[in-house]
Amino acid sequence: MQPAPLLTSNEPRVLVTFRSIFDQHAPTVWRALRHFGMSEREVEDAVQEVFVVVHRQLSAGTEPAHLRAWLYGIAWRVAAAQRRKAYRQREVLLDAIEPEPDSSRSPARLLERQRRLVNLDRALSRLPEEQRAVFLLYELEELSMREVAEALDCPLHTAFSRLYAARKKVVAELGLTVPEEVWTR
Amino acid sequence: MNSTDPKRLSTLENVPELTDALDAARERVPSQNTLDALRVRVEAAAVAPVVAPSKSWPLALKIVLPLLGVAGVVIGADRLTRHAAAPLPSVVTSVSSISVPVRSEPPLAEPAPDSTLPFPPPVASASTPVRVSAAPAVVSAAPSPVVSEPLPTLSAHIRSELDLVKEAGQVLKSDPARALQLTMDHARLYPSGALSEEREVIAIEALARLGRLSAARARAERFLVGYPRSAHLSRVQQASGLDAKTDAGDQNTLTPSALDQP
Repeated sequence: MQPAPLLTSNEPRVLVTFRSIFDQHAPTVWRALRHFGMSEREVEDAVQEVFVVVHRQLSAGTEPAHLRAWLYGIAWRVAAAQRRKAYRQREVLLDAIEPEPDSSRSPARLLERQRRLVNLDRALSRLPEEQRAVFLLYELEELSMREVAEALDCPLHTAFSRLYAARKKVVAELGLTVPEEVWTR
Repeated sequence: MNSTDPKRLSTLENVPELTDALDAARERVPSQNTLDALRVRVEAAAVAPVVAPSKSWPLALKIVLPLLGVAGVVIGADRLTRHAAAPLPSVVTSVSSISVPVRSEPPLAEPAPDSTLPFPPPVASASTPVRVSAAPAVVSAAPSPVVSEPLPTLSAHIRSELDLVKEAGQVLKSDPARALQLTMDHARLYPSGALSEEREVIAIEALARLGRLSAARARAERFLVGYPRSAHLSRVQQASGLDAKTDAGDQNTLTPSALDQP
């Protein structure tokens, strides 16, 4: 059997960087891809594709200014490429991406939480893709709006417009009343 | 969050229909087993294009090992072969179609703590072969800071870890006792360091070179448990004498004496 190949001098550094990024961010990249519309069947390939790009970029010397924005940007483009390839709009989010049951919560509480999650998923599934992406990156992944705009490669004011539009639709879909401050910067 | 960013919906009070659902959606992360399998796939796919298995193991040993040591070993030809032959699903083929805009390069900051890095040392995890990472729990329980998050790498911290392992690899042949001491230093300073796997390979080979074969074998056994998918399995098995296929006349066998060949 042949031994493992040895690396050039730059590769150990890239490997350490890559492993660190993967271990810290793969779970959220996986989650973002699911929310971007990747099915359970597709998401692992999509995560792989994202991190192959990450590795390639790191090997080329890329040092991103905003790591999470960079990662989510790659994830967004991978998801968009998959959608184009499949010639379809995203499927609903409800296909088996349920969180692990938490035994510390009562069954009634779990049921209520699950109902709310399904309602949110349904509301999100009715948003245009760009609005949904802004909503998810800001409200769920908690990027700053500047990072959201960077990840989605759009002007900042466009990101804000999409966020407010998405919020209005989600709130209306859920039949909620929210404070006025939600609509102002 | 920047000062101009609006208040997040998840921070609103008295809107549990929304805040509860957002919290639940954040808990959607893959299992650790899924992540472990993905990591193997990703590393194999990421490194595959640049890996060119050497035609001759002895030649590779003679030329490359003295130059670089074994510190920088990543996915090996044997690992790639194993994953290519069996269930490596759908290797990415369309990566080149994804464009990646890159912005300015900021100063680098301190990395994440060691606990987030992979590969706890086999010594500590010999009884628990499944690797445990804090990543999912950290992500779901405490979302990352909002403003800019610097690349968590290349700091003095990681350079120091890398330097230790590299030096150990470089002196492995000429001074195995020193190499062994360096691996002990690494284990003390970076018990869950990113290069723990490589450290163990060096330590096992150093023990074998020092003639401490029983210690090398015991450590190799722990290595096999801790890193069952390691690219260095054959090297570890051969160096420690655990390789069942090792024959006295096998020229490819990396025994302690073979290690001393020029």
